[in-house]
Amino acid sequence: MTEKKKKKKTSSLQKLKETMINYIKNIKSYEDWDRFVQMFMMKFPERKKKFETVSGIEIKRLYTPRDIEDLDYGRDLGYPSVPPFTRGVYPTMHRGRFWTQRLIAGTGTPEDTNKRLKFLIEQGQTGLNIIYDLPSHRGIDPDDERAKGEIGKDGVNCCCLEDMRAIFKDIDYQKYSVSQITAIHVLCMYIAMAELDGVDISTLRGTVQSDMFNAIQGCGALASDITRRGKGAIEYAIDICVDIIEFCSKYMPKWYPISIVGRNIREAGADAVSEIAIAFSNGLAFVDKAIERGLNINEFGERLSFMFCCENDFFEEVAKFRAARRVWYKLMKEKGATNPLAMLVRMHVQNSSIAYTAQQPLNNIIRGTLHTAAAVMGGAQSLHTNAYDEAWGLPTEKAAMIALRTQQIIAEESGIMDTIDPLAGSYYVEALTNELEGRILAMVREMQEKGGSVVLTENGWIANLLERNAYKYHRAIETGERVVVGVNKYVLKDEKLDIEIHEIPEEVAQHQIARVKRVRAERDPQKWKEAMDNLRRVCDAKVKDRSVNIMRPLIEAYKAGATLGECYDAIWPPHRFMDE
Amino acid sequence: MTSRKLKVLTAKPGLDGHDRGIKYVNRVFRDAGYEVIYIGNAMPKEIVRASIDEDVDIIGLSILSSSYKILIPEFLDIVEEKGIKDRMLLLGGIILPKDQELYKKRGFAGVYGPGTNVHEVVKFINKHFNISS
Repeated sequence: MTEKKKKKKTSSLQKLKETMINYIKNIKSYEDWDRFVQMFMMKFPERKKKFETVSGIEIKRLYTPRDIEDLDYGRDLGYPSVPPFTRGVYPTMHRGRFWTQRLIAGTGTPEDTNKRLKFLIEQGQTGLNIIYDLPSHRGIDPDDERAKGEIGKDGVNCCCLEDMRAIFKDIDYQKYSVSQITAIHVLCMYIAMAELDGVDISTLRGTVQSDMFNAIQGCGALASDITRRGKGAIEYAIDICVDIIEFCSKYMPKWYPISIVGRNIREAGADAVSEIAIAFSNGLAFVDKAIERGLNINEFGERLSFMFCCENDFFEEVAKFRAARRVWYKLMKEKGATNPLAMLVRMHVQNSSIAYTAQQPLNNIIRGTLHTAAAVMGGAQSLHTNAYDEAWGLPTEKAAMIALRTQQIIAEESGIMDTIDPLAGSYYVEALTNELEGRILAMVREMQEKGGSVVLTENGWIANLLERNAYKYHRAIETGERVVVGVNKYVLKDEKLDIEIHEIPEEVAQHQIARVKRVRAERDPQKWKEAMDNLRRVCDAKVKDRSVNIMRPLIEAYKAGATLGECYDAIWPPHRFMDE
Repeated sequence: MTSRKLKVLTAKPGLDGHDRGIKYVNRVFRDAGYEVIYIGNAMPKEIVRASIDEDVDIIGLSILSSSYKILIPEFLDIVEEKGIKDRMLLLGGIILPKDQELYKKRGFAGVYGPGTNVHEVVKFINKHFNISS
């Protein structure tokens, strides 16, 4: 650049600066400021033409009191534990006690998982959270051909009472809130174990996931056994969930009989809006069935719990948790609930796995930290943070410990939960909470008008929506529009996998197959036959009369040495709903 | 290249239900003009059976469970036994690097992990089958 040109540029910049200073001095209103910004941007444009949340909500440049003009504190926010519960469900929230820190454990044999649970307890974990492998989810015994290759891989293999006892060996399970990521069978094995141990089951605390919509919508093929059956299969599956709700409300008042899941639906493709809307629409299907059964909404409503995701968009996620509480309150009120405790969203949060990357896996620790912090600020009651190696396999002990430490550091060092709902009153967060609430409520209403979750699961509406959304999400990564550090930006050339991977040895399968065979050989055949005959009789009766509850006969079958595959087939014999 | 569309059979071996990835792949393949037959979860022998019945050009498997260690070698055994090694075999999911190499040696034309740009896979397929994209 010549001396002359340089001088000319400097003087033009100088002039611009002076103009701007004059302008700034005269800014009195939003309009003035906006005009100033438009001018400023002619010289210094923004990074992007349009800013959006992960869910596609347009983000304004600046939020001001104008964006929450209509906000009425009492009506829209209220106080913690007071409707509409935007600010939280308990009077003292995390000042009273921290959220329950529960990392998912479930690996290999029940003995392996027992070891992992003890390790996590030693490290200060405050709740237990057990995940089961695919055969255990699907009601398949380990020696079944269909279980080949899967035993102990995606969770712990558990197919009989003896397995359950091995999982909890020398663990004082009565002391802990125990979350079981599975459904009725494992719960019944757990109850059978407790009763045989002489434990009063009314003292047991915990949650069973049991939301069968989650299995169908969120875990795809996992539920193909239900979806491949004909009309009525889904309704029957809901009725079985209502059995759990009914049983627990009578005998296990401290147990959450269902965790209505948004999280895995999010992971299957939903965004922040559809995650909550689909979960709530599913939740309403359970509520309707429970009312139909003659249960009191003001009683069972207190025992409904929820599980949500926490994705990358920090403020959108915080706003989502706040909006969710407000929406569910309104929906339950419309269903006739009058007890405020029956309108609460008590939530467990597991952060997003989709957001984790196989590339540069240690970066996932930072993602997990952000997700966990957002969930805490959003008022979660219970949390699982994914370990950094989970894009490669089940976590190693080291990776699981860092995930637990992430929560412990946030709890003990950050101070972010020393006041309740710290982001309330932020123009942005409140505006986003309102926007999300409106969108979620509109979508729930649309789903109800279209026939509700049963119809929309059967006709593929939900599956298609998730698929379209997931397509958009991944397309944006491929085009580079959505940045994923280490994947489409800041990529390491010739990256080598340099973390330890937790591999499940194939001996696990042999161990489990040997055990189930021994259990079948050693049980009292007469007792077993009586228990199974009774279970089959009750399940057959249930098809015609949905008020029949299958919980007690199922518990007794497991006490008599029945296996998961046998009991599953009693509830879902191959012909059931195939031609009805 | 014949005038018929490239025919792809995709499946998820075993019980693993994580189908977000394969559904994305199915859509990108359809957009690329391929005929995609997705059979969902199936055991290796069922996948091979369906591939023969449908006379496909490509078999694409997706698996995010480490059950792949049993199911993929079994699949390869059946592919060899049935003599359909001439089909293009593709594998996606969570496959450890050492196994990726192993499976490539045994006949997979491509093994892809999380974060793969599927449009690059389409380019690879088109090049292999001499299709101008």
